Amino acid sequence: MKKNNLLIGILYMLSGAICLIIALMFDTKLDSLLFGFAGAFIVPGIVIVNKYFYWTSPKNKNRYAERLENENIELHDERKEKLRDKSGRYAYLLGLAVTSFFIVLFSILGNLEVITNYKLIILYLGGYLVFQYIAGVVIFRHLNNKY
Amino acid sequence: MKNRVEQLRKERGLNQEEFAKAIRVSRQTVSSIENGKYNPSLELAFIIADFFEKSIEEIFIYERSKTNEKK
Repeated sequence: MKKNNLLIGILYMLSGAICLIIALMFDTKLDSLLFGFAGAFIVPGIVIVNKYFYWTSPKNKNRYAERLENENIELHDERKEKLRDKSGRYAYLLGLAVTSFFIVLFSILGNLEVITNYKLIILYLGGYLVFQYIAGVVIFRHLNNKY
Repeated sequence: MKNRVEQLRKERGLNQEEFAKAIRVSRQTVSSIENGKYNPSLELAFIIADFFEKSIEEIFIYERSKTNEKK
């Protein structure tokens, strides 16, 4: 394991500690957020540092090399890459369908006065839908020109 | 597309795990290729052919007539 990981772990822990100290020393409206950040930084930091010491110990060196090799194979396995692309495509289509459905649903609920402020939700969902569609077209054209 | 991957692998006394490691793919991919559920890319087909020291045509059997019928 690279020494960078140890540095990242320590940085995480330090950032968490700083958030914790600020939250404890100052009484602000951001206290709960700072406590959240503290937990979110300190815990992964401890995990990263522990992992570093565990995997760099001489008795685990071979196991770590094998693990890295397996991870590398899994990551670049062509069938899995293809399946990941396919699942991304299905998730994209499903996202478009669900967003469209909720636009219709919120319009109906809003017009029936079941919910208020529905226009903002519809505007957001509409914007998201358009963004998704345009991003899909632009990315496809870019890839089409590239390959 | 049919193939002789399983037969050739067994002839060399390898299990799927060992063969997968040798050609740097996952064991599931080897299993899918052998079952005919997945057709490897041209690059992987060449890697497999090189591994068995055979040509691609000797390992992968392209069913030309069936494909033409579908069209």
